[in-house]
Amino acid sequence: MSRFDKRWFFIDNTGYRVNVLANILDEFGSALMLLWRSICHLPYLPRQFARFFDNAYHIGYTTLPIVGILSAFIGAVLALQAGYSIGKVPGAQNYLGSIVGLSMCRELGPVMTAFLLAGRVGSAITAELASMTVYQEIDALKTMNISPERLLVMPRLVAIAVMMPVLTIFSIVIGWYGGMIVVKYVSFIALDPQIYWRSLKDFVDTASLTDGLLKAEVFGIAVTLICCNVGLRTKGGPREIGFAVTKGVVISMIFVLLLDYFVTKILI
Amino acid sequence: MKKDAVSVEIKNVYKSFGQQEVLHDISFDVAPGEIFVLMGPSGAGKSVLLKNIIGLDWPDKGKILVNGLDVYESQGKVVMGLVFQSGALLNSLDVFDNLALYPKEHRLYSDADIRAKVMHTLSMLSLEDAAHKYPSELSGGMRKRVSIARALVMEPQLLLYDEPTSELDPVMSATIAEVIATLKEEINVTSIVVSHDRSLAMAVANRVALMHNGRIHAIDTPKRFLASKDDLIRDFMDPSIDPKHPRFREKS
Repeated sequence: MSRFDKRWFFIDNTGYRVNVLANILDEFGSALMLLWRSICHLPYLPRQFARFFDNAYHIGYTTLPIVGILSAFIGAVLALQAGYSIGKVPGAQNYLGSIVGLSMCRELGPVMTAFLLAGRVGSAITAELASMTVYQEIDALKTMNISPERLLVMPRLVAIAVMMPVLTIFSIVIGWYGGMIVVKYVSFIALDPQIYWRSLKDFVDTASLTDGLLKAEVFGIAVTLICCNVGLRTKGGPREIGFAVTKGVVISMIFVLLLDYFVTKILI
Repeated sequence: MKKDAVSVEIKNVYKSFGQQEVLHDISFDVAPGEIFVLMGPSGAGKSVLLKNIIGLDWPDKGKILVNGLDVYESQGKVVMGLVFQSGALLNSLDVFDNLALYPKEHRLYSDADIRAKVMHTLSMLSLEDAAHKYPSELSGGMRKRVSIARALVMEPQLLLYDEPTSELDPVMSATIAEVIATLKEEINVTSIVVSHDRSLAMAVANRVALMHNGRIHAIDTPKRFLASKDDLIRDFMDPSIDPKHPRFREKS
């Protein structure tokens, strides 16, 4: 085997030679197939309404507090850093509202919400589906001619599609308020909140908001899809469930960053 | 309404995982309504064969026909059930919902009929009191019976059992054997049972097969199996325990 070959192959724990590139393409292809099969099951959504509602509750409502805390501090730190950096330029502080507003709306709100989703919801989805796979519950569904995509994936994807914009809007607004508190009460900034809000309103338009929500929607669906796919493809025993959770979360976060670049490139 | 039992034909099936050959030229037929018991030591390939029959895995070579149809063509046309060795109950659903899942998802009956059917099936296996328990609250024997009940609710034409009496006490094993035997009369089903349990095989089987190292070693009636002079069959059916000459030392 040449040195070039060695870079693209590794020996897995069963002794097989595994092609890394083929593995990545295999994962990617299976995720796309999973998305397609889930879309095909969309007409069955009314029959899965209880599962959709349950997922929407867990994905959305129970994630709200942590999204709120994270966003408030991100908005506050952003205002603090920006206020300190541009404080020496006369009048520049009047634009703090636009800096916090646009950053939260176009970038930090969607990305941080997606990261939180990957860590909190994605890990739970992967763990649940991986343990169902390892303990043959998925096989049991298949023997009953019940599609796991219809029962387990499609309701989650719809729930995330519905809840992600809600979570993102919440994140953005809380981030704005976090920034406002800092600009008002931190002594070296001490900006009138009215100036902060006016600047924010001048720069944040509907397009900024819709771009942010579109990104969030793409991230949310990607995170859910990746975590479902990793969970359903788990093989082995309990140890592999742990590996699957780590894998699902890491791949989701990398994909959020990759998609962030490409979606932003398309939108601007 | 009773559905017709189906035949199973297995023709020259081969299956390997990497370098390891698990099934080698497996061929046999199971007649409609027959109870066919596959016996053999652990690792002989029995469970892999069951997975291939129900379509959870596929052979590398050879054909598996259910009622004359390829396994994949038969899906949706032939109702097949599998009783997993581990039970494989859905842990997030209680016993009632585990049983009701199939008729609900396939919209076979009204809610009232599903309820009546599930409760009737649970009563057949003395599980009425467990209807609202979760799988984690059940004993091993109860999980196994619930798994059988879940397969029965489907009204299968072909029912596969993977070690139905493993980890069960002798009384519970006898109960499961009675269930398998009576089901043939009650719902007219073809059964393939994978088991190590000799008494189960002798009690319920129309024919028994012995698998060894991925091959079918012998197929015969239970009586002839017991009377066989073949060393491998005798060793499996009546393994003598001789502490002075342990097998593991002979092998090593």
